[in-house]
Amino acid sequence: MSLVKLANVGAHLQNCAMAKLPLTKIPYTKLHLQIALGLYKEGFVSSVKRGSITGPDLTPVEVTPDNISSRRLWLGMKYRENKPVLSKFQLISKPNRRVFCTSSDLRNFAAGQRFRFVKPLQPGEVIFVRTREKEVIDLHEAVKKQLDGELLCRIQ
Amino acid sequence: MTLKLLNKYPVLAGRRFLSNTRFMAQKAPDQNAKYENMRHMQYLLQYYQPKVVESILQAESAIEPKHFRERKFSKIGFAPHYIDDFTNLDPYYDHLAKKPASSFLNFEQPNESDAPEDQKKADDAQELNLTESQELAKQLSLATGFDQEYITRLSAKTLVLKTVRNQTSKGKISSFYALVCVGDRNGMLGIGEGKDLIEPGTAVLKAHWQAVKNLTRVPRYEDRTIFGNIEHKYGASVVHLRSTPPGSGLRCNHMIFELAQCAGLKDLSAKVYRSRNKMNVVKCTMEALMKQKSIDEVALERGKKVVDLRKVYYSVEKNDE
Repeated sequence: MSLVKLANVGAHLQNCAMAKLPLTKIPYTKLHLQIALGLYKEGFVSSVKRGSITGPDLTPVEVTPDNISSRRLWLGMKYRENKPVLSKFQLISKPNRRVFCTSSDLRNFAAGQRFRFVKPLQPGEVIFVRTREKEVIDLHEAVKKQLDGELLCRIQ
Repeated sequence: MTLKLLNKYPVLAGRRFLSNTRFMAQKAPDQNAKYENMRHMQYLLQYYQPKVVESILQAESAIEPKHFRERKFSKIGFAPHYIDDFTNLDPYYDHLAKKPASSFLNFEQPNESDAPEDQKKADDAQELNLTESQELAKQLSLATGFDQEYITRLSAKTLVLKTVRNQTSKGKISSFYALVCVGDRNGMLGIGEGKDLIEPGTAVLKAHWQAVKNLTRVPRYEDRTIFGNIEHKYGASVVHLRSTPPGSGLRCNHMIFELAQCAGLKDLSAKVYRSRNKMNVVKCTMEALMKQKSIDEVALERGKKVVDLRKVYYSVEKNDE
């Protein structure tokens, strides 16, 4: 949806990692939810829960136009041996300069080559791609399905 | 007991025995065989237990009488008068393998002294033969827990050696400052700083001491390069470290080169931005190298399984039946 909000989410998660916080909340939007579920699948985050401003919901609460403004997504941060698991969260495609990739370029990028000004893939790095169907998937998944997409963010 | 042995080993009758005694008779075996055997057995029983005598006689029975009769000693004058395969080195007769760290200026007793034990300790010449490096290694091994020989085999490099000045009421007091890096060229690296008022050598020694105390493991990918690319800032020094394919070598700042050599990194590419102050570059690189996360660590953090594709797809493994 909005890459500005995603950039803020990235900065917020990096700050939380540095501060060693156990739980954090981010705005509840479709893009944020897709990214959060992607992070959970990759193992960067221990839990993804819908909740309100005060905390995650213990029992599921229906989202209505009345309570939408107070809805948040709660993420559980992970740490091991005094180091955070999610240490870097940076945008690749920014609001002032969008980055779109064809399927062949995505394949080369996944192989370790540089894509224009985008630095090559690092070991253990995860890159989220937003396809033409507005679906947010991992880079390797996109390569497998031979899809084009926008390089959203890179996470380490 | 002796009759029992004879009954057990009837072969003994009519055999000469391997012995260094004056009982070795050159008579014909058949006539005095039994008498000889008894004499021999009694002689052995004087010195050994019956069970040992039994085993000796068993061993002697393994030698054919023909071979024993035709035995010849070497005619060469300087050959040893004993039979030995020389596979094991004796501390008295042989020159044992020298320790690598000994200097040619040291005068050491090459072999073990023949003097009695209580008189050996009075000889202080042996103790003074420890070199400076050996003394250092001995004390460091007590302080750190590393093996003494391991510490002597570590490769050390003086990275920085300069005079530093302190302004006091009495004027400028200059002293020597040294920064030393130490490593075993196999994944362990440490840096240490030392200062001394009078001699630069002492400063280097102090720095070496600290470096060994600060030895830590540096994660290496395939034992040759780092994991991925690292960017690190320390003070005003910014260091970018990049992993490179095998055979690239160390293409980096001369300070980073020395650190990589000592650590056992063979392929590395680096660039230092902003300040290139030697001391800060070294410290920055040390921190950057420790900042690495190995692939296994990452997998553990995220709960993922790591599969080496090269091994799975391209290696030929035998099937266990």
